[in-house]
Amino acid sequence: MNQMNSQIINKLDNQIKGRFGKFGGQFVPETLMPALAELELAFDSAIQDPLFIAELNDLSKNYIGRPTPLYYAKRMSQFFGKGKILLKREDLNHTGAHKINNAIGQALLAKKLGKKKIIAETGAGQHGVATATACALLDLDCTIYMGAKDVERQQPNVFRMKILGAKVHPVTNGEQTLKEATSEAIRAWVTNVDDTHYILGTASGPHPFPLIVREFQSVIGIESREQCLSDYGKLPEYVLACIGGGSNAIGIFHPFKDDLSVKLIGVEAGGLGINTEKHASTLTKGKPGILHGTMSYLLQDDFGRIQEAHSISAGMDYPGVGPEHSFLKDTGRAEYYPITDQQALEGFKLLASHEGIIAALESSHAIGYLFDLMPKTKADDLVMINLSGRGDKDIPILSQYLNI
Amino acid sequence: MTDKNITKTKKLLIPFFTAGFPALDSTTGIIESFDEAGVDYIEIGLAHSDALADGPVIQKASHQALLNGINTSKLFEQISKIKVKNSKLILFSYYNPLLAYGLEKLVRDWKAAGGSAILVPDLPYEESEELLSLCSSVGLKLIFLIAPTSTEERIKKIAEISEEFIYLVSVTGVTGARDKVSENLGTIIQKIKSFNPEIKVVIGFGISGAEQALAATSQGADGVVIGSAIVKLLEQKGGVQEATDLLLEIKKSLL
Repeated sequence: MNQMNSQIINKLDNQIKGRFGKFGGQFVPETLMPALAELELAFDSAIQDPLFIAELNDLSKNYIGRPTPLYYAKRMSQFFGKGKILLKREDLNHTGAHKINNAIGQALLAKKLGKKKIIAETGAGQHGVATATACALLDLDCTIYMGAKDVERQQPNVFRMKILGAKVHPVTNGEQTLKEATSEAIRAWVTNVDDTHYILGTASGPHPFPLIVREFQSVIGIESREQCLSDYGKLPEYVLACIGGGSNAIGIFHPFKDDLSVKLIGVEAGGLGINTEKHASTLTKGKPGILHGTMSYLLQDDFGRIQEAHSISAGMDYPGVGPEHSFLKDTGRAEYYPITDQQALEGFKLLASHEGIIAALESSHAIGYLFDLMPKTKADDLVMINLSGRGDKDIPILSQYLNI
Repeated sequence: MTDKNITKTKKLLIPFFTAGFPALDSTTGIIESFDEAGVDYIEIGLAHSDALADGPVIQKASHQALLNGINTSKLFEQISKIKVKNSKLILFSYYNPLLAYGLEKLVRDWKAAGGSAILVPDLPYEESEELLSLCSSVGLKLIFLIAPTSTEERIKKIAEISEEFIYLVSVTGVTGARDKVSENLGTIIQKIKSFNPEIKVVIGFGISGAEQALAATSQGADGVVIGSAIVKLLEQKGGVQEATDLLLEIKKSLL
């Protein structure tokens, strides 16, 4: 028997699908495997199809508002006394965050697949709003899965989704936040896979999602790399991005991955501190394992049960992370550091008071890391930050934390 | 192993239940009662926090079992105290708890506890190489699933590497009782057997009673798995007996 199994296994597809070293893969129920294969084929053909690319580029430019500026934050740079801080203004995209880049791309892909129904998960509601927006634009039926607790605390975004014609399905399992919403969206996809496309919002999940999301978000890094070279005549010394699931980070990192002089730094949510149980620092404190169809670093207990994450920002409140980030961490190509809720708030305040920009709490983590980084920089170092979203959505929670 | 006094049905009868539910120490009593009823296999569900293939009934049971304190070590300890007479034991677990336990230690300990097979609902064959060869090395079987959406190419590959039986998911969806059994299962069963005539095919997801079990076997299935319906009964007081009665009733109808 042993021999038979090993012989047959040798005959199995030798291709290791969608792996980043040992991370990634497709750990999903058999029911979904054909849909993932179909999606992979459609994606491969779409990105080589000039008509698809032309449509995507047109919407990027005239609907989303790309390219977004690479803005030199002069007063904030002066605050630190050295280095130039450059902000990639993804907050200026239509719907206020980078999420729309992926939502539009995948909605176009769904049309190509002939699927008229869309489902998606959302935490803070940014990806939900972006998906609802893309569906309204492209005439697709849209259902958003959202933890009941998040529905409660993100009412404005729930209302926005409903205005756009989406159904919002509150998920009442477990902690009732992003992890459960994602599990429920995957179950819904298992049940309706024949006519439904799942627009996963982050660079995680089973292959080919991490590749698809990276492809549609890489526009951030491609633009900012060109802008940096043309405006400053050199590449940046540092590229910073906040990281929950990791879509904005992989979007800006990926086009710089072969520029070895550029330090890539991901900033995780440190919550109340990584030595407490209230954080979302998956790469700093987690262990490799499987969640939502992919092998990656995870916050889990000794028996492999997934733990709850905590962050002041709902968008980073996730116990997993995209598999490519786990690979970048293990290979040392990128570094990842935690920033606490409090440090993120300091970053938020600094940006607002010195540049007149109200950043999302997620992006504020990357700003918060400047307090650690800037003292170590040289006078002419360029520090590029992906300002992934704007902070209007965070006003209710900010009003609890800031004494104004 | 087989007690000759108990008549085996020709069709395989396979109950599923969640270990550590409704109480942490429920596991052994349930297995003993099902074994006594002469079922062929017992699928023992190890509760997981993120059960992607499970519907509301089993999710709820898993949640309770985790609160009750079930974990992999505890489960193996419970199982090792039981001597089954008629039934083979299948561990039903998502992949991450198995990885966290350590795959080598897992197959060794499950075998030592008296287990026969392992079924991992989120481990498609492409990802199964390591666990499959470890299972083989200790004489455990790894059970694969086929779904209504599986392509012919996938059915062929899964049929060729499968031993013992294949678990055919009766519906495109998650676990849980359904009103009717899908009518095109016969075609899939024929396809499976064309690639591996020896392999048995059992149908699960949505089978809750004798009528559906018959509908499944009349399409050529070699057996049925009853999951959510059993778990639902077990939740109630005296549920073990009721669940066992349901199994006996189905067994009778399949004779």
